[in-house]
Amino acid sequence: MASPAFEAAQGALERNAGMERWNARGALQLALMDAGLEAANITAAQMKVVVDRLLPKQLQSQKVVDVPGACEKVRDALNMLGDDARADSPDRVFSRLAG
Amino acid sequence: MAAIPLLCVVVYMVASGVVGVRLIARARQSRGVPELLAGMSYVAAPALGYPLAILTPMLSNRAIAAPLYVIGETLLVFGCCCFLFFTVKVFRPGAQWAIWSAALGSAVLIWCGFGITHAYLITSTVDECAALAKIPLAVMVLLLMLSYIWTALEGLRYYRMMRKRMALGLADAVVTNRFLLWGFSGLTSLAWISVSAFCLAAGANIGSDPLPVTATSVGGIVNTVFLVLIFMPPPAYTRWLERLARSNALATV
Repeated sequence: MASPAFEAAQGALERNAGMERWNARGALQLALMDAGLEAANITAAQMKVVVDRLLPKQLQSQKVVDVPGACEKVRDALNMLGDDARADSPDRVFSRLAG
Repeated sequence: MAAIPLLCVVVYMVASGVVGVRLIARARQSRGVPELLAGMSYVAAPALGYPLAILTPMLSNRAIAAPLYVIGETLLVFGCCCFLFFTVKVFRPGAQWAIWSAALGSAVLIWCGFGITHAYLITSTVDECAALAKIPLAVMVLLLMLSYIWTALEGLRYYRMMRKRMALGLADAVVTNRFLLWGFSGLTSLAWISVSAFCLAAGANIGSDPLPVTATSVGGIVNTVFLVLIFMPPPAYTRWLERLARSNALATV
């Protein structure tokens, strides 16, 4: 199951970049793979970095016309989410193990 | 010379106990299930269960040795089951195949523990017990090897992901390094158990032959180092990791 940040980004791409559901998911998944992140537990803050740094390349390869505009819409959708660190991710667990 | 391997294993048991108790205390504060599972795993298996299961058969008084052996074997199996579920809870929390694998592995471990304990209780000599416990012991060793391969691969996979996150400023250098150490710790345990299993299968005495004795002592001491660096890292080590990450980040600018 994908995190709320992933779902919000996917929805924004479908609505604003003229992408179909599976194309939007694929572009996001490839960007997440490059970032070393997982759809299941990515937070809005992490997704914003992915949108800034890695998503434009994926959208260009999908022939999206207005890449900066689509990224801006995804950022807006993510801004509407709170800090959604709901599930335990391996890095959160491992950061708690010592200290 | 025989004292050195024993000392190495004792150091590992004590370190496991300290780490386990700290993790259980942390779990009480954070209410985190992974900390609890890891803590119970370290306290139950290497700190209490393993020494009890190894040492009690050496006691001459069977009335004392038998219940202690049952307790030791039970703790050992319980700790191994907690370890399996720790791997699932941390790395594959939503995956049905992982939950079922851990459940099946735990069921088989319980069967092995029952078989080994039963063999000890109904026999009177070491040779008889070894012959009767051969199959459950072999299955238990195989399962332990699989559980260490699994957790090591998960740790190393996540380390690779964390390296990518570090390049984007999304991961901490110390936590990233912890995944690498976790992977190496799993591989060390795997190597240690594999050597002992191979020697056992070849009919060697794992308590006196140089190869398994060396593997046990080296494995014990290396795993102690990993435990300390993962769960109780000295400030100098964390500062060194942070400096290294900063210099790597500057080098890539």
